[in-house]
Amino acid sequence: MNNVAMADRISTLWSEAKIKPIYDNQIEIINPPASIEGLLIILRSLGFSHLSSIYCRELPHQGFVIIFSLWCYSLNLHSIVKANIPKDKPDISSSSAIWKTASIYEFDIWKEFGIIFTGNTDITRLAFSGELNRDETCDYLPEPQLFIFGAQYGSLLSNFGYKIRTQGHTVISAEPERGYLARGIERIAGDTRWIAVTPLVSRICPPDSLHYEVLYSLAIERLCHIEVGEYVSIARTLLLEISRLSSFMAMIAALGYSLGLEEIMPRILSEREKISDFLEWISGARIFHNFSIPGGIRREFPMFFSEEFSRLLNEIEYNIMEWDGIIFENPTAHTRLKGFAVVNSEEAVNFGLSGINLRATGFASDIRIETPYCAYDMFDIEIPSNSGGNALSRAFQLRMEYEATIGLIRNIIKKFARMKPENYNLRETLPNPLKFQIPESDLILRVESAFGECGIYVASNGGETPVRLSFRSPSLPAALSLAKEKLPGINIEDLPLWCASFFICAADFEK
Amino acid sequence: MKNLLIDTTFKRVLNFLRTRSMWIYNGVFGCGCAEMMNALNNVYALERYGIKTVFDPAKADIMIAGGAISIKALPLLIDAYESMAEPRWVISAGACAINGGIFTANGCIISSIADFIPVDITIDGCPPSFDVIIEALFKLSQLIEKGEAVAYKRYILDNDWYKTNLSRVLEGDYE
Repeated sequence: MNNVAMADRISTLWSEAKIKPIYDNQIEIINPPASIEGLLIILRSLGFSHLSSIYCRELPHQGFVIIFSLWCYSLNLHSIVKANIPKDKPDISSSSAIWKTASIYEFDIWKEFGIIFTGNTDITRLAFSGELNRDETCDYLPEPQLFIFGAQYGSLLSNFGYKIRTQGHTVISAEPERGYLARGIERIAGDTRWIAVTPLVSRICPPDSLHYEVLYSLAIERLCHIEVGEYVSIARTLLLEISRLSSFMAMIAALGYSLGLEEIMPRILSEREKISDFLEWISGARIFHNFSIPGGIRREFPMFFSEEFSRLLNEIEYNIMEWDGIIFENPTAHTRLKGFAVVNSEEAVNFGLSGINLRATGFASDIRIETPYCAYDMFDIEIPSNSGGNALSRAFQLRMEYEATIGLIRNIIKKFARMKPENYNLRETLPNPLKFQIPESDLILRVESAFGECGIYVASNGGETPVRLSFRSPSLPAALSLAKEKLPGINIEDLPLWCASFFICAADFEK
Repeated sequence: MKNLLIDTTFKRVLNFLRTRSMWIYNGVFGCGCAEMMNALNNVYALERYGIKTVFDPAKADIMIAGGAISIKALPLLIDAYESMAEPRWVISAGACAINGGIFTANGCIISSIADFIPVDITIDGCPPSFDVIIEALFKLSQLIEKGEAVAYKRYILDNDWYKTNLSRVLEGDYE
């Protein structure tokens, strides 16, 4: 079924909305806010089971637009539901009963725009909710204690934390404690010119900055109807995969560190150092490359890059057996990880998990295959399969994808080495960056980063700056909404391992 | 006051010993410390100079405060600094820690950490490269050996000024 047939089917079931198929596999639905809940229930029953994100945009003198980005895994369709809310009565019914992870997105929108989601219990509760029911406790148990775990706590490796209440060693309730890294990137972008937003965007997630850069470039090119050449597409694909490999190394390091296998961190980081050197050779920067810009890439790859990088790949592939010995085949790691932090695939979809966390539950889904971007449609992408959904299967999934990524980079280099940059156009001609304007429109795009699904919502009113720029963070569902449900019951010493086993990077949701 | 700011001969002997075991508390407040992780790998092996990271600020000699520091994270920075034993040194890393950097336009990022804790060495960059971090550590060890890295004494002498700045931020009266 394609998006035209699906649009017809929705319009037979629901008559209140304006439905139209747009480019690729997207369907745009505009619905009055009063009846949004009924529409969302129908869409969920039609197979739109994944709530990618909820975005919000302010329209001057009119009100707000709430945008739901929904994805159907079985048909590979993307529906975008919009509801216009008047300014004098900013409320809409909550969808947290349909998708569990919706409550955290609604909380963010309420904080930023003041829109009230009726029925969302998170919004009425500002502080840590309350007292433990005394009847449930027995006299011989120790008193419950409340303390803040994290933000500058060494083993958590991220600048966020949890307010947890413990009884003895067991966590009995947990509430995410965030806001330590509120850099306001989405807000600052509203006052910045289109081209100058690129360096801001790459600072969202330091370990995987290239994905955000390329995502922004792709969105701007789509809005301006610019088609980039083959060399640029393949070069971007190569860069994204190199960035993915480098992020996987950081993820392995964090996992090993949380297990107490500390020797893996300095050793795998020396390997990552070599990749950083290569990225510096290409772009001139080690962390924030600012290399992919709207319209193309900044310069061609250096000579002999392909040969040199292939040599490094051999080394990286040879060293996998070392990481196997330290962590993936280590009985200590197996004992600790097996049966820990279990999520089944139904829960994973309901909470909006993506990437490795979703695939380790046995649910094969990858945006690189479902909606190919850059040049991913030219290559065979192998998705390793795994099942179980516990921490050990996620570690194995990481190990297999690490190997698969090396194979994919080899394939890309094979094709890339034959291309001569002088025969291709590296950058499409853009107008003067200071007077660069984008026609009035908006769009949602998704890419698969190392941590999971990254999404972007860009809105333009025809001016020189974005009206609204918002991102979907891959780590947000696990860190903020799954944690509230799954942390109670685990031991307090397992909490850093719980975070590392879901590969949480705080920087991408604390933006 | 001048006497307070100069180390005596006996203290210089101690300082010489201190430079041989510099323990770092790595205050990762943002992406300013993204390269700190790389500086500690096996390629550069800082541990051969006695430099290593500890996760308890009470055991550390040096704090590397890097990245954009939000108003919510500021009390954590002050707490970490106050729980370090004297003599203590601070390296502020990254454009955001120096003057707010690329996020200056955001009101909830403080503009300079030097208003809240005394800083010995500032390193520029977004994020500062690993070689600059290593160079700054060596530079600091030279200053300590000469007895010139005495910024921490200002925290006691000018404590009122630092505390006033902090209370102004927390009450929302800081530019």
